[in-house]
Amino acid sequence: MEHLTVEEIHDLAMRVDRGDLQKQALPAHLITCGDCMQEFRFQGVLVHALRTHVHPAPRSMKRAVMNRIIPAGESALTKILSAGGRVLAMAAVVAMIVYGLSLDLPGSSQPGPTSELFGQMSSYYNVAKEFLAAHTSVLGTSKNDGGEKGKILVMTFFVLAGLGLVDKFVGRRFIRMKL
Amino acid sequence: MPLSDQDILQRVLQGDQKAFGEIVDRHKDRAMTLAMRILKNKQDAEEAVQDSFVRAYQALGRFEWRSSFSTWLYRIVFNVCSTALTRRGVPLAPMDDDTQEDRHLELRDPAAAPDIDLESSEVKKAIREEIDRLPAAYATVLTLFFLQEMSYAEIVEVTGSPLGTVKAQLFRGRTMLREALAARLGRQETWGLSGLAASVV
Repeated sequence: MEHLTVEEIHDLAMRVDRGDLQKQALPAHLITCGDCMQEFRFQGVLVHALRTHVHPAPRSMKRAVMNRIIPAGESALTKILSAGGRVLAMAAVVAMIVYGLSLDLPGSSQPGPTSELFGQMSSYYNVAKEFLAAHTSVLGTSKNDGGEKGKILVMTFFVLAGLGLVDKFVGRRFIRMKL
Repeated sequence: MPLSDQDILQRVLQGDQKAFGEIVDRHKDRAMTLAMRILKNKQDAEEAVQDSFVRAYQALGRFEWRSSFSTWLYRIVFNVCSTALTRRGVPLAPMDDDTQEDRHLELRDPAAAPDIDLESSEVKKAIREEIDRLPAAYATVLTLFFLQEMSYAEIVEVTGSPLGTVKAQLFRGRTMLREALAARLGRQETWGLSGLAASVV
């Protein structure tokens, strides 16, 4: 009796596992020969394992890939906050803090702690201003009575713009590298 | 009816970047399986698959549809994993120079009827573990052939190996798996292995 080769049995097992061949259509020898049938069963289990044994990727894979291919700033929310939007947001936060410090506590005729703090800071500023005025000749600087506020605003703007640029060109690249 | 890979990728190329997420969802498990079979390490495999998807996305404009997207993607996965192995100083595997294509394990004087329970969880677990232990080159072609259901020609395209080498590795991989399982479970007779001509003709 001529047995089937392992290769022939393997091909049959693969076709059955794929659904390309019905078991009823197997060669007569395979059905009647115990040894060939055992080999067929073994090959069937092997083929099935090879076809179905997978290592599933983690659920976070898709998000990790998408974070790398689509810049974070392109989502709807971050679009609004990106670049100039972020600078404006930071400026708004700074303005609100300064405004808050200048407020008195409601329902009180006495100055609140924020006003006191603000007044104390102003007194330090005035002391420094008088000191500079008195030593102008020594320091070699020109006297300027009204430009401080303007300078502070300009400096604030440049600092915020600088932070925005650092965020855009350094921060996001660093985040992408970490991802 | 679900969209084909080509339909989705056309949308990506037209600017719908988020559609690429569907492609990742479709192929991530099989790509991960291929990477695991080559690298044998979950963290390395995850990084390799991530890199592969990003590279595929970046090179999408240059993809010419001469093959299916999956064949192209798995070639990228294969290359990324091969590079990672090279960095470790480990070659992918000894390549089979033998390009003989008409090899057979022939059943001669088969053993007695078997009594092993092929459906038992012990056997199934052993098979899965031995698949994962196969050398990378053999595991690669077995995965591409059985899991990805690729043709010989497609496997040649993915691995860059000659057709004869692919066939030899496929054959050798299956033989190694069979022998490893027989040795592990210690039931050679019951699987008819003792009756097989173990030599490759």
